[in-house]
Amino acid sequence: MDASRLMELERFVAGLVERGRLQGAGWLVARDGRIVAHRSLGRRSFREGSDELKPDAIRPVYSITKVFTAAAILMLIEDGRLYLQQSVADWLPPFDTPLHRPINLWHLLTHTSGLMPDPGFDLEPFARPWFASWIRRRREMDGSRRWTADDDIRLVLSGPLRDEPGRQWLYSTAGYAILAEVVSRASGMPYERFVEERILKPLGMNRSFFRVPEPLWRETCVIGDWEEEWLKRPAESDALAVAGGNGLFSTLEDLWRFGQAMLDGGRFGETRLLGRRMVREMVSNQLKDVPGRPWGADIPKIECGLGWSLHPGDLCSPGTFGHEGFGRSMLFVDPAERLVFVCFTPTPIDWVPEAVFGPRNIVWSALL
Amino acid sequence: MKPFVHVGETETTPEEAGYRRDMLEKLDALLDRLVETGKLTGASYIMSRDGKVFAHRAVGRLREEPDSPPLTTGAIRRIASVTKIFTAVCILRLAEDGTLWLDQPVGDIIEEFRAKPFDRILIRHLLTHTSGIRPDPGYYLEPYPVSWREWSCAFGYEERTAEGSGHAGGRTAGGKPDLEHRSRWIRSILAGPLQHEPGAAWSYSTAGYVMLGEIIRRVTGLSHEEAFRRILLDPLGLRHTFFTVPEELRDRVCLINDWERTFLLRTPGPDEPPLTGGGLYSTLGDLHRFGLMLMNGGTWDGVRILGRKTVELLRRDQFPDGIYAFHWGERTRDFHMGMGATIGRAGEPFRGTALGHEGAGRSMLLADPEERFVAAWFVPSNVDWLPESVINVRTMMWAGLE
Repeated sequence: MDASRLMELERFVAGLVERGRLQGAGWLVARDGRIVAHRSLGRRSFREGSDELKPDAIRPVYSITKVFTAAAILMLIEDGRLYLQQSVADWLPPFDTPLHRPINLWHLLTHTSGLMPDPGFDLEPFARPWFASWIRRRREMDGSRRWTADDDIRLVLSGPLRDEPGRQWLYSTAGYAILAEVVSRASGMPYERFVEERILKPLGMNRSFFRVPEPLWRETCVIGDWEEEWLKRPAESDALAVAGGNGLFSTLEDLWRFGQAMLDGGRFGETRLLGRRMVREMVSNQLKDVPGRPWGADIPKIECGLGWSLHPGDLCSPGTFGHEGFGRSMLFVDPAERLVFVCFTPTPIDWVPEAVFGPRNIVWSALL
Repeated sequence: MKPFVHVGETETTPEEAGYRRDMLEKLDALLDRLVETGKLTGASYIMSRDGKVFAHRAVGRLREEPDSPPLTTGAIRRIASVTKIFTAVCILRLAEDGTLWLDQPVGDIIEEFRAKPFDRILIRHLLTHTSGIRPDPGYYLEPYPVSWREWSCAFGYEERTAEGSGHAGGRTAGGKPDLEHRSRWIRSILAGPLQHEPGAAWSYSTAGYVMLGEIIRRVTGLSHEEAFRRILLDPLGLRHTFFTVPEELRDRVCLINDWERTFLLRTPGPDEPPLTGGGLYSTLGDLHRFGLMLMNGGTWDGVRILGRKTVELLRRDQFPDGIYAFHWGERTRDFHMGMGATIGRAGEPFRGTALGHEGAGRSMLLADPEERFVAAWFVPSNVDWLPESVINVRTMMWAGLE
């Protein structure tokens, strides 16, 4: 790779930090399984006098969690416990209604179940509350003893479906919480533990957590009060596994390990996560003529894998897969170039498009 | 009580074959669990890489009775709709030989198809389940499906009649098949309108494959059994694949209900509908050998059944943009199929490289030319629909490829 282009990336994000568009930035570039860049700059915390953001800082990766949930589902399929076309109602009794019975695991994985999309998805002027906080408030009202995970699920399912299953791409974090709940029930262990024991530990993702241990709180990058609260939140043992949509904390290097395993056909070194053909299907387009209108866009035919987004565009080769997370984090894998790119651009500003597209294009421009 | 396990012969190890041993253990655990919980009476499979068998196992019972002998890897089993890919291979071979072509109107060969709207049906439509003729009972989730038995009763083609309408040229003398009688079952299948325009949708039709059998009979002048033997079974050495199981082998047949026992013993007349939509019996070994031929571009062990281009066609997606299929209520617009072979769909790890077919009762054969991988399995069950024994199994099998 062209070293001067990788230096350009540093100059570019340093400019964004100087102008106050970003709180900091960290990135990792790996080619052919070897890390060629792993750097960071800016501040770790939003608070005055924060220490600097280090390359191994822990960061909530939000929606990138979804690809871990998808991998967990596929691992349970390899275990013979689930199948993709299985009705969710087989595992979660609240789905056993005429309206919800047609929803299967594949629909949830591809965001085509018809369940509520995330607040703001339609640019609606008055958004519904975020499902997780809705659940939390409802639990407080009722006292958590009487309120069960099935009640949480009924809350997520309340109201009509937005569309028939399979008809429309409706990005739903709640749908991934439902998938995480299926992971819990099909594996017989809590979703978080399943991901820790079957994915994080075997891959050596030693700084990835659903609950960051207290000594590591000061190595965790946070962008606001509310995020600090989320970092230190108490456990809710009997609740819906809401973490399945956006609850993972990770690092650049740890996400690279997961991305590299996907690039290498489901294995990282001697560790086998998923079968090669399973991964190939996971990153292959699943949808045919399914429209989507996410956040004001109008896309007549959306393509997506099982948990993965496809074809991020610009300089990425066709077949590139990845996922982004709020606040903001990115993981992209380009099989044609054997390239893995992980990037954190923490910022309290809602949408900084130049920090999403710029770094990626600069990295791809460095390919000789 | 732990079910009986029988281990068949292998030629190599999973490691040598580039196959994950942990996936074999998971697969066995799943099948054992389905047998132990009584959902399957038995389960057997064979898998090979590059022509060498590396996994070969049977668990459970040969019959449904508790004191039944064990199911072994050598058992004979009705393969139901897996028959269809054998039929497709015969049709494609006849096309290779110049005897027919795939865009040929069926009416060229079966005169009942010359009447509108059947005159637009081509051989290709029958192979790809797009002709619109008589989808299988229950395909449209109709609450009161017309079973094959009701259909026979309504049209009486099981009874030979002395008087006929003479539509197809009347009766023939000298012990030859009664053409009027044969025409009667053809007309009974065509009775009523088409379900949809030919080519407009995918609607699974065993009747279409029965018609392909009739085409094989007419263009070869042989019974469908004899045509299958000459084209395929004898050259490839499939000695335990039959439409009628010889009496001396009947105690090796896996049978799990009364209907299967009756079906085994029936003796169809020469002018009854050919059972090319689902009537074959076979073994894992024979299915595997047939799969090796498909995996290897049409030739195996020095025997050429099909040319390389013909196997490519059998596997090539006939609906690259997807086709509408009601598909037992699913109403998908993204259905795909080869020229007579199942090739998988979104979410199926075998898609894009493998071809094969599934059969009721249940069984499946899949051959993957790119992975040089062949898998066949029998999962006999009296449970109505047991996706775990089919969808999970094939997904796990492909997940095992290193």
